[in-house]
Amino acid sequence: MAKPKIATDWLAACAGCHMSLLDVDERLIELIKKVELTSSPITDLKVPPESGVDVGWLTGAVNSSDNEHVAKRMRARARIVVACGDCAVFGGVMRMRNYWPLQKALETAYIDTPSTVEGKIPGDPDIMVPQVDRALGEVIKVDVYVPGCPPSADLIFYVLNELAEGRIPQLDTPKLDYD
Amino acid sequence: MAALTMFINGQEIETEEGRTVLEAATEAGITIPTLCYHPAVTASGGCRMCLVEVEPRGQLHPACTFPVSPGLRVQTHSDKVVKARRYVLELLFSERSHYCMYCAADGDCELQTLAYYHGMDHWLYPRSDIPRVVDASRQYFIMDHNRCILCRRCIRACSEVAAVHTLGMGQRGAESLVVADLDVPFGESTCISCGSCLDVCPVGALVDRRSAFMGGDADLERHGTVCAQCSLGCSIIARTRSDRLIRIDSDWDNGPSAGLLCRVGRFEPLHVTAPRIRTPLVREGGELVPCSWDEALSLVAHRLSAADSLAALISARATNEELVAFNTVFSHLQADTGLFDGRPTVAAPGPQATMRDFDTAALVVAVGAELDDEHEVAACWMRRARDNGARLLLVECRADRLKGQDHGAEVEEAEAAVAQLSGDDRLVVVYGPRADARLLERLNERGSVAFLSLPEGVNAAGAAALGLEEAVAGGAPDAAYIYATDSLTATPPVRGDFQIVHSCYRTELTDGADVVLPALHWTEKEGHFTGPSGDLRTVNRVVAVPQWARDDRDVLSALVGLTEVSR
Repeated sequence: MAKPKIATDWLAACAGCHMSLLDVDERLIELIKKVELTSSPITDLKVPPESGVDVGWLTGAVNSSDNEHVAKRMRARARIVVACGDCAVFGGVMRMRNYWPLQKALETAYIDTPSTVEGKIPGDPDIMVPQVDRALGEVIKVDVYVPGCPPSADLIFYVLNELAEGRIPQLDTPKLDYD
Repeated sequence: MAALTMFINGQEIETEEGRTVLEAATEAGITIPTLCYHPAVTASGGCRMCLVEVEPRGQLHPACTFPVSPGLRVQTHSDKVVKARRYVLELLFSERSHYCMYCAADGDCELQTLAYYHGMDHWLYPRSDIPRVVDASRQYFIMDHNRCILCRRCIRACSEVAAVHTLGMGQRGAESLVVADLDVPFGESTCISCGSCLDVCPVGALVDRRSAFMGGDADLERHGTVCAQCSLGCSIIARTRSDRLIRIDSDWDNGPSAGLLCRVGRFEPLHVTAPRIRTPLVREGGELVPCSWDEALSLVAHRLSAADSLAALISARATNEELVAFNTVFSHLQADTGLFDGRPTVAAPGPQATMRDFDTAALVVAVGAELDDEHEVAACWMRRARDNGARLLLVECRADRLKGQDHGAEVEEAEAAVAQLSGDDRLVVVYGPRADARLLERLNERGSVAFLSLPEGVNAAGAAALGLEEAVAGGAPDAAYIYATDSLTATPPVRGDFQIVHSCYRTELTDGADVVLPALHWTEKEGHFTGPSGDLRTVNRVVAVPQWARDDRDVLSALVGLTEVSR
C-alpha cells in the first residue's frame, strides 16, 4: 500500500504552527517513513498536487480572497482537512479587527498609524482582497481540529502519527490548550 | 438538621436535610462542574453548568440550588447531563469574545477549564463580533464586558459580601450588561473599589491592572498573612513571583472578614510610588550621601549617647517583636518614647464584636471612628447590618461614604436610640480613638452589647500594651530617632536637632533627616500584631529579605551594644 500523502499550507498565520511542526525534530524522520509530504510552504513544492492527498493540513485564519482560494483548493484536493492552531480553529488574534467595520480596521492599520507615511491599503483583485476574519470552519468543512497557539510539537506529532496510522485523532482533555 | 440518605450515581450518600445536591456531592468527593456558583455568595442556579439528572423521570436541575431529600436519586455524568452541559458551554462561547490567546485570565479561567474538561476542540456555533464596552474608568481594575458571561457573581459579591449594592444588571437578553448604579462609568459610581467582584470573577471580565499578564495561578506563590493596613487585621493571600508581591487575593476561609477586603488593603500596597531606601545615608555638606552600615550605626550610637534630651518614636505598623527591640534600646537610653503614627483606643468596656454580631444587630452605633479609608471593611459590616434591618447611628465619625445610609446623631440621640431598644435587641458599638470613654461605659450598662474597637494603625494595641502611646507633639530634643518602618506618614510630631530616620521608603521625612537607615517592608517580616481585644495575629514573610537589607530588630539590637561602648 502506498504511503498516505500529506500536504500543508498556510493562510493568515504567523508561521508559528509550522515552526511547531518543525519542532517535532527527529521524530519527523519517523513520520516521513510512514507518510509522503507532497508540498508545504516551507518546501520547494508549495501547492498540493491536483491528484489529491489524504491529509490537508491548514494553519491560519481566512482573512482575504487569497486565503479563501487556498483553503478551498485544499478542501478540493484533500480527503481529510486538519485545522491546526487557534487561528484556523477559532479565527485567531485577527478576529479582534472584526469589532470594527473592515474598512475602518484597514485604514487604522495601513494609513492612520503614526509611523505610516503615505500609506496604502493592499487589495489588488488579481492577488488578494482583504476580508472579514473567519475561522477555517466558517469557510470550508473541517474534519479535525487541533487548537493551540501554537499546538505543541508533541500534539502535532500525535495528530500526524494517528493520521499516518489511519486513525482520526481524539483530542481528549489533557491535549487541549487554547493558548 | 435531620440526617438522610440519597443516591448520587447509584452511590449511597449520607447527608443532612437543608443541603443542596452540590454540597452533598462535594462532601462525598463527587465533582460536579460549576460556573456561576461561588461559596462566598448565594447560589443562583443561573448558568446551568451544574445540571444533574433527577431519576426516575430524568428532569435536569441545577445541583447548586436543588435541595436533597430522603431517597433522592441523581446522576451527575449521564449522557443526557453531559450533552446538556456541552450545549450550555457552546452557547456561552457563541456570545462575546472568548478568545483565550489574548485574555488576561488565560490559564486561570473557569470557562476555559470547563471547555477543556468537556473536550471542546472547536466551537459549534458562529460568534457575533459585536463589540462591548471596556470600562477602564476605575483606578485599580478594568471591566471588559466583551469577556463577561453574565454569571452575576460580581453582582452578588457586591450586594452580599461588601453590601454596597453598586452592581446590577442592565438591558435584557443577549444585550445584558453588568452595570454600576444607573449605568454610569464604574469610576463615577458608588463603587468603593473593594475588589470583591474582581476576586470572584471566573473569567477575564474583571481584570486587575497591576497583575494582568504577570503570571497565572500556577506561576504565582500563595502566602497567607495578615493585612497591615488597619487594626481589623483581615487575612489576605499574598500572591508573589520571584520574591515580588504581584497581587493580594481574598482569603475566603479565614480572618475576621472571611474574604472581604477593602481598597486600601487589596490595592494600595501594590501602588506605592515612594522609592525604597536601599543603603544607609548620612548628611554631608547638606546632601544625604550613601555610607556603610558600620559608619551609619556608629554615628547614630554616638549621637544617641551624647544627646542630653532624646525622643524616640515608632510607627504603629511595627510588629510586637520590633516594639520590644525598640523599647530595649530606648528605655536603656532613657528616651521619651511614643508613637510616630497611629493612635490606640481605650479598652472596650464589654465583649469584642465580630462580623457575626453585625449580621444580628438591631442597632449599630459608631462613635468617633474613621470609616472611610481606614477600616472600610467595618463600614461594609455596618452596611450588611443595615441590609439585615439594623439602624445605623454615626456619632462624630468620619464616614462620608456611609452618609445618607445612616441616621446621623449626636451623643444624646445615640443614647436615646439605645434606650428604645427592647431587651433582646443586640447592640454593636464601633468606636475609634476619639470616642468618649464615659459614653462607651454608659452604652455597656444596658447589656446585650458588643464593641468593635478601631485604633489607628495595625498594631496600635500592641504598642499600647508596651506603654507606647500617642507622642506629645512639639518639643525639640537634641536628637530624635524615628522608626517609621514602612509607614508613608511624613509628618512626625517631634523634630530633633539631630534627626535619625529608620524607614523603608524615601519620603519627605527621610529627605529632612541627618541619618537614614533602611527598614524592611511588611512583606519581608515575620512577627505578630496584637489586635484590639488582645488577640495575636501572625505576620508571615511572603518574600525573601533582599541581600542588601538588614532586619530592623538586628539594627536596633546592634544599637544597644554600640551605645554602651559610646558611653
